[in-house]
Formats: sequence, C-alpha cells, structure tokens
Amino acid sequence: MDAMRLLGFIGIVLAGGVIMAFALEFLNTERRARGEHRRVKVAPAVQSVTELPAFFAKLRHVDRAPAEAALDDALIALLEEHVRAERAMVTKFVHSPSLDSLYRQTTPTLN
Amino acid sequence: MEQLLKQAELFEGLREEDLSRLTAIGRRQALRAGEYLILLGGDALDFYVVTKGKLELCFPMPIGADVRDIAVESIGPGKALGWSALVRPYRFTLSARAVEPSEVVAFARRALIDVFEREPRLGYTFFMKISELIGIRLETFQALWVRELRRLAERPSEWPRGAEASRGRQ
Repeated sequence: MDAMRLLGFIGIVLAGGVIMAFALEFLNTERRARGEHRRVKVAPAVQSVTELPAFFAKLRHVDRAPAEAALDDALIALLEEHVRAERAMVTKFVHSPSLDSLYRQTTPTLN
Repeated sequence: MEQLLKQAELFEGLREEDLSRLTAIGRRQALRAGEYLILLGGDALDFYVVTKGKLELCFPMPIGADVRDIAVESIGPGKALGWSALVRPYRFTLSARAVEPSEVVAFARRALIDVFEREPRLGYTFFMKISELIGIRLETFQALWVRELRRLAERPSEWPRGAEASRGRQ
C-alpha cells in the first residue's frame, strides 16, 4: 500500500515537472518571439546610425529636374561664399577679441 | 618626409631628434581629387598633416532631396587636421575631402602616444600646440555662431514658433 502511495507521489511530481517544463518553454518561446520582433524593429535604426558617415559622404543623387539641381548648386555656392566671408570677419576676432571685431559687418550674401 | 613635416606649423620649433621620432611613425597617404580623407562620425584613429595639395573641411547638410557637403574651411600644406583622433570619443566631427590631388602624413594615435610616453617633453609641446589649434577652431565657430544668433535677433519673423509665442506673452 505504501509502495503504491510512493509511486503515486512520484508520478504526480513527474507529471508536475513535465507540465512546468512545458509552461516554461512556452514562456521562453514567447519571450524569444518578442525579442526577435524588437530586433527587427530596431535593426534599421541601428543600421542607419552605423551607416551615417557613408550616408553623408556618398552623395545621394536622386533623379531630379536639372533646374532644381542647379538651384541646389547655387544655394551651396551661396552658403560657402557666406561661410568664407564670415570666417574672414571672425579671424580678426580670434586674434584680437572685442565687441567690434566680433560684430563687424559683412556684405550680406544670405539676406 | 622630415623636410615636409618641418614646414608644418604644428611641428615648428621642434628639435631635429623629435622631428625624426615623429617622422618614423608617419605614413604618407595620397588622395585623388574629390576623395574623402575623413568622414563625420567616423572612427578617428589617425591625426594628419597636409604636405601637398588642398583639402576642404565640410559639414553635411540636407539640401533639397540630397545631403550635400558645405565646405567651411580650406587647408593646405603645413596645416594639421583630425585632432579628434587625440580627444575622446575619438570620432571625427567634420568630413575632409581633397579638392585637388593631395598628400598627407598620417600619425596613428597609438604610435603618437607611445612616442609621447617615452618623450614626455615632446608630448607636452605637441599637446600645447594642439590645444592652440583646438582653441582657434572653438573661438572661430563660437564667433560664427554668435554672429548668426545676432542676425536671428534682428529678424524675429524667422524665430521658431514657440519662441515667438513666448515673446508675445511678455
């Protein structure tokens, strides 16, 4: 009788263990799936960050109307001219800092 | 290479033996016109001295549907660039491209630090000059930024909406 009880007890423990193993495995699978999903969403963002330098360096030329491209080139030329003029103005400030040298006027290029 | 480096403003006044130590770790690198030497955001492993040609330091800027580089400074023989290689987080903060066929001497950070550990006096002189270079860059961009702010102050219509609204409440 005692042997039967012992066997029954062992059986219950084993069955419980199997059920618990299934439950844990199920939870792990769910967690893995959620992780995968998150990775899929995050991956493009990480990729775009790691590709930043190349993204900036390799100019992305989209098919555009020549007039638009010419306008962009003109804008870049204007910006670069502005930077050159401004740098020339601040050079004096760097060597001799004062309010006057800081706010010297350039010929406006971007107004 | 030593003769070329002697003309670099960063190495002005260095003793012959110090110049030889630096020459020993320098690597010559040729660039084609339009080729990029460094890229904004890239790992800054090397510090450079221009020995021939002309390079432009650029900021990328979205223009229309493209991202284009705006040149903010031209540097020629004798000038140094890439001090980000010596300052954490060791990432370049500008891009640099050759305007014409050019040549630079590259110094790996690790090799420079090794030399300076053996010759602290040389390291001191070098970093004093580098701090001057960084200081000039900082002051230049600070002044450029303040001048742009002043322009913005003169044209309130160009202020961001939030700023305009809060100004209106005052």
